[in-house]
This record gives sequence, structure tokens and C-alpha cells, in this order.
Amino acid sequence: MVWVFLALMHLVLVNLFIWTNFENKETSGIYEYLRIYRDFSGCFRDYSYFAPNVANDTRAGFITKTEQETLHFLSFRAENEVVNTRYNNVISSGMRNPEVRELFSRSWATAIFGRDEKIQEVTVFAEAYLVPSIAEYRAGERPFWKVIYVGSFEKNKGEGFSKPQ
Amino acid sequence: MCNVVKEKRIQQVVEQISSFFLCPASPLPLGFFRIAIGLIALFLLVQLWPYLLPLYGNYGFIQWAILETGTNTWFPSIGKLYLLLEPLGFSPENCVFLIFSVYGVSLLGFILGIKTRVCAILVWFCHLSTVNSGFTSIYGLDTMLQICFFYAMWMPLGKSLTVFHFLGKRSTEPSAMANLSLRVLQLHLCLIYLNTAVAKMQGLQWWNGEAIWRALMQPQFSTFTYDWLASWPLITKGMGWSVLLIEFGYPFLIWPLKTRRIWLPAIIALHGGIALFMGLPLFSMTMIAMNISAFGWLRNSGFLGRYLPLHYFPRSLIFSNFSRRSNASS
Repeated sequence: MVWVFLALMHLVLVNLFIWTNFENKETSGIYEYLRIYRDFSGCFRDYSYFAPNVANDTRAGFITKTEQETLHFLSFRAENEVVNTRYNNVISSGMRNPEVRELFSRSWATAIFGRDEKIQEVTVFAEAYLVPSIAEYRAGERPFWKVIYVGSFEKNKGEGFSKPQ
Repeated sequence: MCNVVKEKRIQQVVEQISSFFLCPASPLPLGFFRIAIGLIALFLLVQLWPYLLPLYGNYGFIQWAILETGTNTWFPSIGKLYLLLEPLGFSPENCVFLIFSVYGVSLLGFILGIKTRVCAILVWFCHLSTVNSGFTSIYGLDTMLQICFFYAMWMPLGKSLTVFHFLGKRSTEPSAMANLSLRVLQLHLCLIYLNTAVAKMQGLQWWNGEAIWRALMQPQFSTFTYDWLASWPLITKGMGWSVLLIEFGYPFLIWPLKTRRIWLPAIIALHGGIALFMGLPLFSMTMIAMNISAFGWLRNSGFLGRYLPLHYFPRSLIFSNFSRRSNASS
């Protein structure tokens, strides 16, 4: 019966985590311990997949410039579809909130700088795929990619840090 | 007199609860659960292996400096492991490969059923660390796997279908712990579907079919061309309503055997559709594995026929098992 009690307590806590907007609760006191339990038990997110609405698809890419002014385009994609799903999540998490776009794109640009030391400048761009409603589609509108972010970062030789433009 | 009736009633309720949770059940579905979840996680690991550094490395797409600032102190991560191992000469890259290597080896042990509990704890810890270090890239699959690995630590997953059983070891008897584990898994699945259904019902897109339209038209998910659906809006509307019906009905209609015969195939078909039409096969396979483990084995008692079937409120079964046990012990 002890195990039954523990199992029931666990399920009660799972309910608490998913129905009560637990993410925005206090971070101190009992909530701190509950949060640890939530993370350890895998309940760190609710299960509202594709809900209440389906968000726009996003994609990103990089234009790199070397010292010799050679331009290259790198897509933020991999050949592997399993990895692409993760890359897509990285892009959508980075671009969802306009306040953190700068931080995330800087991080992506840093990763690109690390790939080749000849790269002097990286331009990060991200686009959202806007799908018209069924009625709009029937009226002639078509889905299209809309640029939602562009940021350029230069390698700063002196300080070793990039600078957005 | 009134107190006696009350006591009897309470006793009945306690009996019902205990028979619901503690009626001995075969550990076989849990063996299936272990192998299915383990294989999915191992396949995922093999796919991710060449991309570990861009996804999880200190100088990957999301540097640790960014990830670690927003995380709970108690939440293990590859970055925290590096802080511990740096004095021993480990580099950040070494730590990434170390944790994923331990994860892979533990997964092998977990699948084969060798030191299952130890492997389950290691798998849970490694997966939790990788989830934290790749927080921006995770999705439903990782959440589900983490839930499964958390349960794997205390469920008797190593009691059937291990390598030792294939080498001749006899399967263990039905146990109360196996039933309790299945019940928790069943109830958790009901919560998952209720939560996702309620969330979907709050959006207009699921009622008017736009959600299905939008999901299928996304380049990320679309595996075929679906623009013809614009000429048949009733199809997307019907599909949206079907998803709501299947998911909302799940917590209520998966329990009675008669409706389970419809609901289990329906939910499997739903996940099969997500795998086929939206290109999310691993997430779908995880959900299908969880569903079959939790609710599928009675339906498939043909090939699992050697084991005791699971009944609901099986008072006769529980008492016959207890009496068998007490006879054996006496």
C-alpha cells in the first residue's frame, strides 16, 4: 500500500504540474523542491503539442564572408531528418521571443565562426513560413517565407567578440 | 448500525482500490515496454551521434553559457559534469562524448535486461543531463522518453524478456508491482491525452480544420503535397474533430474492453498518421509503444497467451492468487 500511496502522490503531482501553470509559480520554498521533482520525473513541459494553435514553421541560414570577400551560404540544416527536427526546434525557440533573438543568433554565429577561422563576418537570417487559411488559399493566396530576423556579426580580432550591425 | 455500514463501505472502497492497483499482473508488457523504449532511444542516439557537438557541445549552436544560466541548480547537465571533471583533464568535448557513451552502453544493458535497474538509473541520469544541455532542441519525444526512464527506475522492467529469459530463465510470476506499474502508466497516458485534448479544444484552429491544414502545409512536417486539401475543407475539419474526439475520449473510453477495441487502434492510427504524414516517426513510435505496453496486451492475449490476463477490479483473481500464494507458503 505504501507503493500505491507513492504512485498516487506522483500522479497527483503530475496533475499539479500540467494543469496549474506550474512554470510561473514561485521558485522558493516547497515550490523549489516540487520543481526538482517535476524536472526529474520528466514533467518539465505539459503535453499541449500543436495546441491551441499550430505555429509557423521557421528556418534559418548563414551568409559567411572571408577576408578575401568570398561569400558562402550555409543552411541551418543537416542531412539527417532526425537532426533536422532538433535544428528546427533550436531555430523556433530562438526566434519565438523577439527579446532573445539577438542572443541566440549571436550564439549560432559564434558556432559558425568556430568552423573556419577564415570567416570574418556572419550574417544570420531567419524566416517564418506563413500559411494562408484554407479560404485565403482558395482565393489565390499562397504560403511564403517571410524574413523575421537578420543580424550581422563581425569577428573582432582585438577583443575576440562579434558585434551586431 | 450506521457506523458498521460506513466501515463496510470504506472497506469495500479500499479493497477496490487495492485490487485495481495490486492485483498481480504479468511483467511481460513491462518487458516489451523496456525493449521498445530502449530501442527507440538507441536509434535516436545513433542518429544524433555525428551531430553531438553542434547540438550539445560548449561551442555548439547554443553555448553552455546561455543554457546554464536559465537552468535549475539541481538539474544535471553536461556543463556541470565538465566542472566536476575538468580537474581530471577532461575537455568539454570529452564530457559530451563521455555522457553519450555512458548513455549508449546503459541503453544496451537496459534493452538486454542486464542489471536493468542500474542501467535504468544511468539511462535516466544521462538522458536528463542531455535534455538540460540541449533544452532548446528538445520536443515531445524527449519529454516522453524522460517520463519512461523515470518510471523505468522503479518499475520491474527486468522481470521478463531479458537476455537471461531468452537463454532459458523462466519468466517470473505475475506480481502486484507489475500491475501497479501498468496502472501508473495507464493513468499517466490518460492525463497526457486529456491535457493535449483540452489544450487543442481551446484553439479555434482545431475546430475549423485549419490546424490540420497548417500542420500538413508546413515544410518541416509535410512529407507529401497537401494543397489539394483546400478544395476539400470538410476533410481537414473532419480530421481535426477526429483528433479531438480520439484524444478527449481516450481517458474515458480506453478502460472498458468494448470501447478499447476501438480506441486503442484509433490512437495507434493517430500516431501512425503523425509518423507518416508529419515526419515524426520516433515520437509516434514512443507513444505507440507506451500505449501497447499499457493497454495493448490484453487485446493481444493471443501471442501473450501464456500469461495471466488482466481484468478490471478482478476480485476473484486477486483472492485466488492470494490463496494460491498462501497455500504455497504454508
